[in-house]
Amino acid sequence: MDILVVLEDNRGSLHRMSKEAIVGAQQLGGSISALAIGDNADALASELSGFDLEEVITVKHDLVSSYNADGYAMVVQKVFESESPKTILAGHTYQTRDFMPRVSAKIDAPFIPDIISIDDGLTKQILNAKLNATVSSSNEQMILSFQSAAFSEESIKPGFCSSRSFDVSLDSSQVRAESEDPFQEAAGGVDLESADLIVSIGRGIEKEENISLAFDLAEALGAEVSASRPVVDSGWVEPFRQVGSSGQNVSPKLYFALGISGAIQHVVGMKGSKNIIAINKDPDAPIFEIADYAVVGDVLEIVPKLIEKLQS
Amino acid sequence: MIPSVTFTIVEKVILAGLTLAALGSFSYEVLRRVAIVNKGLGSFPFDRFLERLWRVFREVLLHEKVIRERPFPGLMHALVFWGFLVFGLVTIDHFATGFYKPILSESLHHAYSKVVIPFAIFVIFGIVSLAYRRFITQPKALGKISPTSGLVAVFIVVLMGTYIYGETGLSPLVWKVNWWIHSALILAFLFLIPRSKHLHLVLGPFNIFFRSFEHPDHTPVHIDLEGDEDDLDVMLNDLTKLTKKQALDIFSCVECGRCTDVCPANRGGGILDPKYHFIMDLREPLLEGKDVAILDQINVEAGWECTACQACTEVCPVGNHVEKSDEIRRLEVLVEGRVPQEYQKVFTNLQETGNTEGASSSPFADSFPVFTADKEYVLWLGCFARHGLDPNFNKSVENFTKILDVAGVTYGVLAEEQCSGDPANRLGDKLTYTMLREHNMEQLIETKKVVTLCPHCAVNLGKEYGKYDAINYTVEHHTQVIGRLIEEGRIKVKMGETGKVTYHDPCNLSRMLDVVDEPRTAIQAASSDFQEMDESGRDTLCCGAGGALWWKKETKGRTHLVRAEQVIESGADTVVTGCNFCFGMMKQGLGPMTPEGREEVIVKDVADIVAENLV
Repeated sequence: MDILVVLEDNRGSLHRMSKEAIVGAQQLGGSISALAIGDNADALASELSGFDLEEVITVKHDLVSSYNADGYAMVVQKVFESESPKTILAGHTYQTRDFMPRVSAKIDAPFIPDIISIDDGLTKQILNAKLNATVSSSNEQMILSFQSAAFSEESIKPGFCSSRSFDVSLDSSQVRAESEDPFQEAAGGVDLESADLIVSIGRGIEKEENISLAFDLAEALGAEVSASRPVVDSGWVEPFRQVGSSGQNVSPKLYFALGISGAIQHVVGMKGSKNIIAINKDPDAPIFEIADYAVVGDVLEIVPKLIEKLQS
Repeated sequence: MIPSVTFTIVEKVILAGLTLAALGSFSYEVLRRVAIVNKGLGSFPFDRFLERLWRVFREVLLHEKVIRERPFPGLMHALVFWGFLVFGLVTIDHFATGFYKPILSESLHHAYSKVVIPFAIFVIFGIVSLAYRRFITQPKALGKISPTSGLVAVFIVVLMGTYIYGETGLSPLVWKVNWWIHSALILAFLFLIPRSKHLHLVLGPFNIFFRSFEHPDHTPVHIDLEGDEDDLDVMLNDLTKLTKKQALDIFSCVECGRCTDVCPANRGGGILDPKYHFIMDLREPLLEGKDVAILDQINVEAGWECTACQACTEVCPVGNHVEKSDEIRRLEVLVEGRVPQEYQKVFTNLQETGNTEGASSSPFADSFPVFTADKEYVLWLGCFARHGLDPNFNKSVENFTKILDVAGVTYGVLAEEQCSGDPANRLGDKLTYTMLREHNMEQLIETKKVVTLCPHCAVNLGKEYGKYDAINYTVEHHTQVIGRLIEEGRIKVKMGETGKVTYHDPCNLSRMLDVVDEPRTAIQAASSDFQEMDESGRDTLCCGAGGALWWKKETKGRTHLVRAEQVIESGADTVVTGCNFCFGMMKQGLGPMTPEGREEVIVKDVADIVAENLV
């Protein structure tokens, strides 16, 4: 085995960044296995059955039924010692940040985190993303993690993959940390931060009755719905949908800004979006300064036609 | 009129015993508190002595502030207080009669009683009104029902009653019984006062005397980056300790709740209750622990809600510096290392890029002339303007430079300007603040005059930096410069078609810099239809962004909506302000609060309304 991709369980399904890490692994080349840990290990393994991997190793144990840093680090160490892959890979998620440094210490291999590209060696951003640095290790074995969207999950190579269960013995004295329930922004919250497509509503939508228009567009696109603070303060959508300085920061591939003027409080939460389409009646709206596609016009006229087009 | 009554030796002994016990208890309780206060850091200020005395005269004797803030209850309180003063001589004479013989002659006593009796009636009227308010109306600010206050009200009424009764020509026996009741109540007061909020009678005048002339008045945190580790330990250890003045504040509190009434976080639906969180919650630990290292007892969550607007401190009738967000936040950040996630990002940005948003270029700043020694002003842009973060606000900056150009005032921007450090300072990260302050002080070394559009920068570059180093430059807010240019006739402004205009005072500008008139001069030069909001000037209501809450991740706070509602209720077509944060908060809050069918109020900076109407 050349590469071991450690998977992340996102409430029963595979974390998007784990898929991206598999794409990274496929591009690095060699024989690739994945490691799924916890009660949902089989579900994660079956999600990967149609992709080009050697196998998915599943580990189940009472002490790692859900994520905890001690347990995960122990499991990865044991799998590493038994299978001796050259590289351990993962998405650079909060979970990875939490437990991977422990793995690095346990197996005495360097951890190079938050890699954005492997085209010209292992590239990561330094000095607040002003410069890119190419990093290499003289160590034969190492641990890497990839930044969100470093690879497109759509480029994952299809194929076939089996799964194998791996027994570990863990002692409760080794697992001292206990995890609480996974954090959710709010009951019924949406995961805006990892959404690829977002339809976002501003006060330009004019009335609460028109909100459904945005949801219809979102449904047609397969997008999540977010909003600016004034829309939330108006009580038109739930607070967990708020994007901006006092809400969530998002960086989708496409951000549809409907009637959003582009106040600074909102822009700081979405300026990292890869593509921004803004529709606004006011040609001087600041949102147009950062939009990739600027449509000067009435949201209430344009969106229904857009939905029609998407549905046909 | 006193009938010929003599007191037996037994009576005199009993009276002496009771008086000694009461005075002893009073002194013990007061001195116990004074001893704790003395453990506090720093020293009491005696500078500007006459000014301080004058303030005590106005605020204590005249009750100026108490009456201004709550006119009816304030006046009732004043009646009780003035009555007490008048009764001073009566009380001395009263006890002298018991121990030996009256001080006042028969005729003097009679003449003075003509003054005292009306006052006794005023006091009864005052205290009954206050008791009615406390026990029947029960305003929220007064908090839980206080049995002691009820007892005190009864005592005062009986004291006044026994006094008046004593003047009605009683038989010796009845007079004497009446005399004893009066005496017992006075002595009981001595027991009660130091054990209750009524201690403000004693400490209030001192506390008002020592009140800082500036607020916020947090002690600076000197961090020597190359200093000795032991010194650092001492510094960190001291962060939990109250200053002498802060300890005196806590014992002086009269529990009136004015601070909570005006608190923007509280009014916006937050948990912060400055009366309890910043003052009352600390009283028991202070008294029982007999130690001033108690700042870690402040409710952390409440401390993070504070907008540092200083409304609570401004309004306090007994001279307390109520606000303590700085104290709890610096403890959390510097000692405990507990920094809310959103602020970690702000601190990292400040450390790495010198601005709050982590912007790496400043094309907007580059469009202005660079400062050289031949220019009059350094135009200090602040993060928002420097990096053009708020396109809406960029126009205001350009409008201000247009005004300067028309007036022929020369200015330039500094190439290496970094954030003044206000967010780091207010969020308790004094280390990042030190770095930014030291960097900026180097940039300003040759500077004589600074003008900025950001009141937060103005407060920090001037007053706050001045706590650490001598500063050789003056700092002005752009509204001050505009106001002066208008008054000196260096720019001509015509009355514009502005519609009804109101002004939102930024708290950093009005309360911290006392800049209240200049923006109004400027606005009224351009608008003939100017109307004040109820809460204006130094009594303004914070927009919700102060204390670096601009960066707070919360979606429930309604502070900005409370203020936006007031703006809408004022009936104004345009609200003018003088701060980029207020500007942003107003713009955000007005939409949701605007009733259907009504035009949204336009938000402008003072520079906008003036520049638009330049002749």
